[in-house]
Amino acid sequence: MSIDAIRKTESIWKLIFQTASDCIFVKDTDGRYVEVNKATADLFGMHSDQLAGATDEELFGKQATVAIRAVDQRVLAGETIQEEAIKPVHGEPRVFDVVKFPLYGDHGEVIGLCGIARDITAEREATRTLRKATFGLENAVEGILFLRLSGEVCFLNQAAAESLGYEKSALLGMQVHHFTVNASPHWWTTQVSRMTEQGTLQFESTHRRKDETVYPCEVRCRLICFEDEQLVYATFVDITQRRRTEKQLGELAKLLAHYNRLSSLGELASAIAHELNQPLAAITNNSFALAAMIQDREPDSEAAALAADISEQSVVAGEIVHRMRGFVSNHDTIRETRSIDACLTDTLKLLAPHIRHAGIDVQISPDSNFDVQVEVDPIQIQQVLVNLVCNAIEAMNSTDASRKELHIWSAKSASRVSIFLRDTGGGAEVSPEKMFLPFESTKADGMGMGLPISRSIVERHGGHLDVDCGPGGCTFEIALPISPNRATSSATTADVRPAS
Amino acid sequence: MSHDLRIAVVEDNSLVRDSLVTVLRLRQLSGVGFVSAEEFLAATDRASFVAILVDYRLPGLDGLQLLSRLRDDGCTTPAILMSGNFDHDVQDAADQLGDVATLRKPCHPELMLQTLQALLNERSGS
Repeated sequence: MSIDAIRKTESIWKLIFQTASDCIFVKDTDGRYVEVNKATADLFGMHSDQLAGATDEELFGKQATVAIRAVDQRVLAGETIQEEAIKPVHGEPRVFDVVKFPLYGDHGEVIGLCGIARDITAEREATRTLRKATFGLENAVEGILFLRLSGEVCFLNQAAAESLGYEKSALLGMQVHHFTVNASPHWWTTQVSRMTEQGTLQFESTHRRKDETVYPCEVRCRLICFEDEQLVYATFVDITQRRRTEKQLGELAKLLAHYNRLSSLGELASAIAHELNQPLAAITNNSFALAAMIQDREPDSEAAALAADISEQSVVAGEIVHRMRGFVSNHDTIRETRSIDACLTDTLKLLAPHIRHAGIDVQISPDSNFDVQVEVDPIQIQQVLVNLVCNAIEAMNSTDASRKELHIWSAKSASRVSIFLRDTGGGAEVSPEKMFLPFESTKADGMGMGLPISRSIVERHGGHLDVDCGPGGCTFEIALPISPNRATSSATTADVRPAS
Repeated sequence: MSHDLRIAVVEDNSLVRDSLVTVLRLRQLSGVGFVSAEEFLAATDRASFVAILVDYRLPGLDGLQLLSRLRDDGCTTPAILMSGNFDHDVQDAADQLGDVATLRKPCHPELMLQTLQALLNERSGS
């Protein structure tokens, strides 16, 4: 090898040393930097020459130097060490993959060490992000599945496996219709084409667990592209509990409707009883007198017997009417201490689907204080609120109001609390006083009993129900006496009373 | 009972009022009708009545208000208060007035007559 050739070789090594993207450095036995390449110098924003003679303490600070020295000592003792080290560069921690090996002199003695360090901060960050994403996926409450377009499961998380009662490995490769009740390969094809058309698809489905038990679930899925393959990304949640709550709410609504009907009937009975009382009283008295007079003139005649019959039967009729009225007024009065808030929340919860369906924006004034205790029959007060909210919804639906808003607020005095409900239904066609009269419905299928019953309920609670109608809408006010023992609160807002 | 015993019948419904007068006549009692509490209070000869039959529901002053007005004035004439529906408050108030019987309307005329008889007997006995 000619000297030129060697020079050439040396310059190639030098070129590689200088242009390598990894940091390459040489330190002497005292730990001073003897030679560094450009990548090392760039890391500190300096020139290679400036780093000659520098110490680790100058570059990385006192704290980091302790660990560096410890490794260096081992390398100087003859070890080659590869490690992942975090070092502060300009105060920022950076992750390095470092290899250090000893350098030997002509007589085999250690004269220093060489290090090659690769900055892997960005890779580590990416790995961490990926790990976080995987962790999130694995620990998601929802079951998550990746499915091929054929319906084959190609990825799933722990929640999905637990929900379906299988080992994860058993579900991989399984067809979706195997654990979906009443599903066929054709069903899956249809779902995929719907996803293609609509984007995200949401539907309710029934899953079958490994042990053959089934449960309802809500599924959301959409098409995604993963590594050049079209997949279906699906999440599902078990909605057994939600179904149960919905069922309870449905039962409660049914009970309320039943109660409503019952009390319409009761109010009707009461109205009829009142109207019949007077003529019945006259018939009873007159037939009694008539029977007595006939008996006087034609003792024991057929006419006398008939008149006596009429007299007795009219008394029976009076009894029946009285009992009919008693049917409404004699039931036990229920009074429980409840907060206005609880009454309102329960009502809005009950009517939430109805409100949502009608597209009504319910605005509850944040300044209002609904945390006021009242002594009420909770079901009856709820009946009133349901009636008023339903009326408001119907009023807003029957006009083409651009805004459909139901404003709710409260006002409190020393002894009374009022709930106000204002709709944007365009006001009433009849006068406020007429609205509270029985059989004065403006609705095609209305019986006209809702408001009169509501008013009588509120009045039986010692309160009053009034209305103020403007061109924009109606404002109803339900005023109730505040409970004297305010300290006792029995029910919370979250407490939906079961049907009993 | 003799025909000269006068009973006031305060009842706004004319059919009911007349029928009560008719029933009273069966026992030789002379019923005199009044359409309202105010009309009865205005009657100059009201001291001549031995008993008062009065409906609770009346336009203006109700039956109970009429009777308590009379008691306040020192009038102790026995009375029967009639109503389609007595709540506890009305019942209690009637009981406190003294010499007032309450009857649910419509009531058996025989029961009304017996109640009236009992009130009158009590009066003549004391």
